[in-house]
Amino acid sequence: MALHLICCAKQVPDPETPAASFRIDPAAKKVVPAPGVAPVISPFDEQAVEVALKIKDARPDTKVTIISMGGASARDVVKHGLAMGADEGVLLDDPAFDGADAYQTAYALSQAVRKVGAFDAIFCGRQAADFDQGQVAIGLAELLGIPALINGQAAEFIDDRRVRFERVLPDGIGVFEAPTPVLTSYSQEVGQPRYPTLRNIMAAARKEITIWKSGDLGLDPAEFIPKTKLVDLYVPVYEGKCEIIEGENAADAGEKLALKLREAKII
Amino acid sequence: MELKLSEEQRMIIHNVRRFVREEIVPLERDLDPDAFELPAREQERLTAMVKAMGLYQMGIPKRYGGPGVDMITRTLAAEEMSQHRAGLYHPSYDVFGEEPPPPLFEATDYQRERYLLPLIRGEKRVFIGVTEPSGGSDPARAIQTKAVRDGDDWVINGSKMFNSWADRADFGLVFVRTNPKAGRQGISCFLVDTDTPGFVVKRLVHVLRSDYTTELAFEDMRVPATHLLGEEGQGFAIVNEWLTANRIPYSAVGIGVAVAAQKMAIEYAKHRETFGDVLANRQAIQWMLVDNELDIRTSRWLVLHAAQKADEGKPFRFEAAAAKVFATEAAGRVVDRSMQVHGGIGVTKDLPLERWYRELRIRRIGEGPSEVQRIIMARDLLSAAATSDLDSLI
Ligand SMILES: Cc1cc2nc3c(=O)[nH]c(=O)nc-3n(C[C@H](O)[C@H](O)[C@H](O)COP(=O)(O)OP(=O)(O)OC[C@H]3O[C@@H](n4cnc5c(N)ncnc54)[C@H](O)[C@@H]3O)c2cc1C
Repeated sequence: MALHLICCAKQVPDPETPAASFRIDPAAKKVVPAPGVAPVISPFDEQAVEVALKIKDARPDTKVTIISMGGASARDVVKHGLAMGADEGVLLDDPAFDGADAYQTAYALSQAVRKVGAFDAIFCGRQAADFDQGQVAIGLAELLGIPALINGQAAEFIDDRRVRFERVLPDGIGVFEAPTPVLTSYSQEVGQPRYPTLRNIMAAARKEITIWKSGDLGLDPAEFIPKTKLVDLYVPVYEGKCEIIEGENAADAGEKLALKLREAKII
Repeated sequence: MELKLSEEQRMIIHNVRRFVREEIVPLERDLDPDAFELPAREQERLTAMVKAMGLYQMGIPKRYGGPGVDMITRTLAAEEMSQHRAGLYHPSYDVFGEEPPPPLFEATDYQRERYLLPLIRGEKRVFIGVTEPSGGSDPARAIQTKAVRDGDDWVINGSKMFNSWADRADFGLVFVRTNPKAGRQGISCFLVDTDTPGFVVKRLVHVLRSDYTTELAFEDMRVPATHLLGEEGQGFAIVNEWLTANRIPYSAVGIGVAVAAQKMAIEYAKHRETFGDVLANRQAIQWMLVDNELDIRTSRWLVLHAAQKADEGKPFRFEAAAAKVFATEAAGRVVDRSMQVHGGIGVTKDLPLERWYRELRIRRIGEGPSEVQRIIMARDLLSAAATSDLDSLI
């Protein structure tokens, strides 16, 4: 049986953007893209694509579909997934999606997944590298009524109906099994995602990607409403204060410093 | 006018950019600031990665199993590959593969088997022997090394200067005089194995960069006639055509270094405070950054223009000369200004600026000095067939 895997990937500002170029627009409550720095696929999402492609490496008849919700520029994320080796790409691009919260995103993605059709597993990043909410993957599983295994480092199909999943725990690895269809999410422990090959880049460049607007997804307007509200967005101001601890001699000063640090609950 | 890249071109360039950022730059933290080679293990690992990506030796034509990537893409990729400390003379430490000298693609079957294919497979290394102690700007006149026919061999006597890698290469393309009376038509190119009796590395010549060059002597060196590349007397045409084409990537590499220096200067200016404010708020500094940007953008435009003409199969000697002279001089200015923005730290070996500063000085001399590029351009401008640049653009 040929597997069908779906990867959800988001476009984010390049996390390598120099800190000095980071700007927000407090009125619009948005991050202002740094000029000259192209946005990229969110790194955890790219790792999720990598896990899906490893499964495809072992079972070449596997079909991998990549879905991204975002503006027209998110087309690059879909194309990047294709260049890594995915087979099909879908872009959810509609002004109505602008500013969607985690719930709306999960809802729109769930409708897109239903429209894509039968699948065996979904692959997401543990959280997006911009707002780090980590809500969409589990929300999507909930809306689809399927099990979710999160924060993984690897996955494989035991047979056509069961997935074995390695979950990263603070002091080890938990190994889980779940029946398909299942949603899985991944973390940096996956390791470095593959570089696209020239051949896949050429194929990806030629590949048509499917674009769905809100109307194509049959979103229920009563349902597609935000459940959260971004009240404020600001860059915290850090203040540095310097205090010189004096003492009779070095040992005395050291003791006073230790006391100070303990008072401040630092040690 | 806007440079419109295809999706494919953009993806290739992003791929190279990411590779350099993630694989090359971090390695340099543990290397000597003047290193020009990677530890063998890293070299093998990264070369294997590039091969798997299908980006090894991008310039090799399709008929030789290469990817046959166009010149615009290669130019922009070269700009990315060089954005690190050793990038000027060893973009990405050559893990993208050194491209064989194009004249070898016209080699005989014997020469192809013996030289070209091993070069493509990475089993052999090559050096170039044009310059002699008597000069390099005007090789048609300066080449004095003589080859005399003797049966099935040519016997070569003379010397060469500034031959990079000749002490580590397996063979070289050596340009010698086969007919003393025929002027530039009297020069021929031979494929010379470095273990040929009479091939002598006289000394290592140390220069501004850590990667030295050599001086060679040929003492009754016998080279079989089958090692003549192209026709007898074609040597000058071969070297001319090849150096012209090489000016495009050569210039692009300089732009890459300039871009890297400019990025550093902008970052530093935003953080460094003097007299109660950051440097970025001082007009004197802002203008340096602006002048850097003007230099970079002008260079890029000139290089891409040459690359586009090359891709279209049009003559591009004039454009390549313009690109070479401007981009190498401009990159020198950009690194110089970026150093000034950095102050003292700019000249330390903690940062790559001092290395680029030294090495860029060579770029105005190597591969045809600035004066020679200007001579090439002046000849065309003053010739009967001269056209204005606008004519050549449209
Ligand atoms: C680090 C390094 C590596 C090199 N690697 C190689 C290599 O691998 N293989 C190789 O063959 N060569 C190599 N070269 C040689 C290089 O190509 C030559 O140095 C260059 O061509 C200039 O030749 P030259 O040094 O003999 O200068 P000359 O030809 O003696 O010229 C001296 C100066 O006068 C200027 N000049 C010449 N003619 C005119 C004119 N008509 N009007 C105005 N100005 C003029 C020149 O531009 C130059 O600035 C290398 C050089 C260096 C420094």
